[in-house]
Amino acid sequence: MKINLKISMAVLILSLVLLQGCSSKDQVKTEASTQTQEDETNTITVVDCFDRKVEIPSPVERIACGYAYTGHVAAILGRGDDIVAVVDGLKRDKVLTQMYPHIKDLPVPFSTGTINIEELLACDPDVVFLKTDTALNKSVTEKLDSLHIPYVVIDYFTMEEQLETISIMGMVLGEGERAQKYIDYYNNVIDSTRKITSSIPEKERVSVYHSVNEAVRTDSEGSFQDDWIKVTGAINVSTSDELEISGDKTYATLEQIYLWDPDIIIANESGVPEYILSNDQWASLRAVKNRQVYQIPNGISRWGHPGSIETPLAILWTSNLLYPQHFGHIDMKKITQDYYQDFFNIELSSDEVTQILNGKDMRELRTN
Amino acid sequence: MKKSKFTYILIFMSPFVLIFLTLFNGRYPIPLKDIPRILAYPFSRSTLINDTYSTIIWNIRMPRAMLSALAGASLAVSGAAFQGLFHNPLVNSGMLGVSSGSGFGAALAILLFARSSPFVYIFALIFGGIAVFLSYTIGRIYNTTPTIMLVLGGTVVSSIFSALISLVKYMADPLNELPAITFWLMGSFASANAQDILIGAPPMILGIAGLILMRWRINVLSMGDREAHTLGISSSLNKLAAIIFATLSTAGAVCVSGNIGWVGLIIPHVGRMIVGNDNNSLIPVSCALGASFLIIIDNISRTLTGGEIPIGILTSLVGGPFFIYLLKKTKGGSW
Amino acid sequence: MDKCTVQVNNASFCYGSKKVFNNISFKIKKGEVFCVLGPNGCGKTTLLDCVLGILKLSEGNVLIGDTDLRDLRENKLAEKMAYVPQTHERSFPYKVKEIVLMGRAHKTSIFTSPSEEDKKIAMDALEKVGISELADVPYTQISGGQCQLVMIARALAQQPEIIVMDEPTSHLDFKNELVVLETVADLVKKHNISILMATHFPNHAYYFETNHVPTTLVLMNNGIFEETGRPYGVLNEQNILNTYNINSKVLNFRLDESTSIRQVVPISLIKEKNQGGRK
Repeated sequence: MKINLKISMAVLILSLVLLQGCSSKDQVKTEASTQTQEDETNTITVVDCFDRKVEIPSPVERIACGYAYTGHVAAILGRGDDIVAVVDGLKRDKVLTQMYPHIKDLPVPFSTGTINIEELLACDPDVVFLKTDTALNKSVTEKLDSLHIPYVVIDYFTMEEQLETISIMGMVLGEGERAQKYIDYYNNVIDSTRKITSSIPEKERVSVYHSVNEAVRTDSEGSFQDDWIKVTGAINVSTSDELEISGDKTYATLEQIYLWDPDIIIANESGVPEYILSNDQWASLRAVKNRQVYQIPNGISRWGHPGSIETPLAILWTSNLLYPQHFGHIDMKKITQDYYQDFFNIELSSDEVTQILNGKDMRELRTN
Repeated sequence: MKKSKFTYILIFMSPFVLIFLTLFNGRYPIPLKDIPRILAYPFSRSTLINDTYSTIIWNIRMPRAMLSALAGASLAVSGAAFQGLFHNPLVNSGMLGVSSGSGFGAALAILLFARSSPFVYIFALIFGGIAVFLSYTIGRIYNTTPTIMLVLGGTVVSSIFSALISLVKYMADPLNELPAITFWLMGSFASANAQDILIGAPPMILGIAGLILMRWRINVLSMGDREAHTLGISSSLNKLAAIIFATLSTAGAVCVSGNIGWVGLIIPHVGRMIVGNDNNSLIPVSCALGASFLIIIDNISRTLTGGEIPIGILTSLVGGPFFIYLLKKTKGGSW
Repeated sequence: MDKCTVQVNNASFCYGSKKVFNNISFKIKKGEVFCVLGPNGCGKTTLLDCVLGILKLSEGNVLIGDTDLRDLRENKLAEKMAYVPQTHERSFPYKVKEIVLMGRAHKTSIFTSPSEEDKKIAMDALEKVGISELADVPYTQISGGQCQLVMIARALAQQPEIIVMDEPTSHLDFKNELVVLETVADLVKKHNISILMATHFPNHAYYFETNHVPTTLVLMNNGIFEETGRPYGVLNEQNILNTYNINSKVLNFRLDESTSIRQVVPISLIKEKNQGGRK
């Protein structure tokens, strides 16, 4: 009896693993067979975020996205259909998979810091976009080089660098115009917001605690979030204090948060505001007592998250939340709808926009 | 009696004193003059007190101190018990795969449900139990319970569950669940709250109490199955009871604090250096020492830097050199 | 009729299909030493384990007093019968008195510790074997002989009617062997305890009889008792030849007016295979 149970458990786990492997392999085959051989006569040369000069076939027709952000940018550049390999996280973005359902079935040759080269090779990508940690892994890059798979490192720590990544990807994918359109929009949001917030007097400034995923995970000084929150005119409380560093993430303690005692708490993870509002340990914070705990919208990504392309929206939403009197209650719903129309070419229904602005249920729980 | 009553009083008082002191240690400054009123707050219902002070003392520092004390006590007591049961001084509370089983249960629950779901605890307890059951079953492939088979079973089960943890981590969303799983496995009392106590404390208290009551039996069990039998106790029955208590307390500790290694190995040995090998005194002493040790470690963890170093790292970092110092000081004690 | 402390009836034991011993019956009387002598692998230890209840007989039964062994729970059995192991693995440096106190385990329940009364009994047991001065010494720091005395003291602390000893002197030096034998002889004479002892040394049986301890000796071989009786009667050169297949000589030596001692000395192996000596 017991033995049987154990065996069947083992079989179950094994078969799950095998099934997953099989299904992705099948996918590769069908993809490959429909693809016609391209004569690679033209190449272009781009400089990536590591200042490497990379030679890339032109036009690029098969894109491998080594982390979620590059998938989002590819979508903005109108090339979502050409994505042939993704990271797991991309499959769980509701908006993205709604736009490009084929992403749900794509192989996942990437895992943290490394690549399953054979699986990637089977996807036959023209170019691979990598994050810093993977690009620093010599054993990965050596294999990519020897197999002549061009890879472009895409990473950033500031908004300026983020803009640069869009420009680089625009060049790689031959979508310079679309990239520029986004960059202009982005710059425009920064400039117009800064114009208003820079004139807000110091004593009117609102202090903000920004929770990233986990309730106590927050922004360090010089982080990407520090950069965009500055534009909104907020005092980002955590950036002036020492934080615990765990990998590339930074954490505060509850006592620190009590010391900062911010006016407003914004959280980018669904459920965290409810947790903060209902938990005894947070109860004595001013923001909690005044019910000033908000959820940042969550569209294709969590707005303003370190890996989020929707930074302009995060800036608009946050500054409007903090200083409605200065921004004249801008219509976030309209802005959001236009944004998705202009850059992703999808028309969102009123319900869908509301869902994005509420930031709830935008990522699927993994069930397979 | 080699040790004076004073030593024992000191050892048994230390967790309480330390919990008390812990209440005044933290980043948030609390004026000394307000402390008596804050401490009286839950009993007096006074409205004069700054709300923030009492939240920090009663909702943040107190649960955390109590949980680290309980977890330390649990790990130390179950470690001592396992060492006795398997008459092997190198065994620790993670034996029989409890830690990795619980770790897997929690990781699985984080993947399937939310990170703050009560299922995290329930799964951790259940899978801790399953791991021990499997180890014990493997240990009984031969009709007696030879220690070596049990240890082997524990090792196998441990590695299976460690592999499953890696599998869960691999399947987890790197943005979302993975940090939660990793942080959970590393162990931290940072988020300890009333709910943690409500769920984590009962199995720990039950386990500790059971083992303290059984403490003298563990002496007899450490003589081996054969001699225990002829001395008049049913070794399989007694062993099973002790394993259940040790599992409850270890799994409970892993539930609230993640995988804290080391305490279960080292604290019983520190106890032996102080009071000797008789589990009659060793187990209660390990209980107090384990509690004190983890309170101290947790305090170091939250004051050393602005942020926090995961406690699992600190226990090894602080515990290791301390143990070497003790070995040198006592010249190996009675070993 | 003498009261029996242990009675074994028609006992057989098999490991799978292999018979270790077959249809053995014997009685151990109060205040006697019952020595089981036989070559390696003859089933002595298995027989002892069956009497101790560690192994279950395939056939037959063991009566402890008037009760069937199978009806006795561990704690009840331990009241009647104690055990001194051949070797004791010393894993933790318990103090000697702590080890001896474990002899009181059968009087405790799962959640209780021994009482002050129990501690006194343990100290008395140490006194009886004459090692009170070792009470506070870690038992990992005493000699093998002393350790065996500690085991005997622990057995005594159980206040049993019979003590089962499995080759209690096998790892001891010349003197310590004598210390143990003397202690055992003393216990039987002074405290009227029965001893069931497996041994490799025929001379141990002689020793007990020489020292006026009531002694029964059995020669165990091929899974049965080949001879049973008083050592002086059973241990002759022919029986040694039958059991061990060696030539030996029994020597007598007059020590003084009242005592003479007897020893059996092995002389030589039988060179060619001599089946005649075996059954």
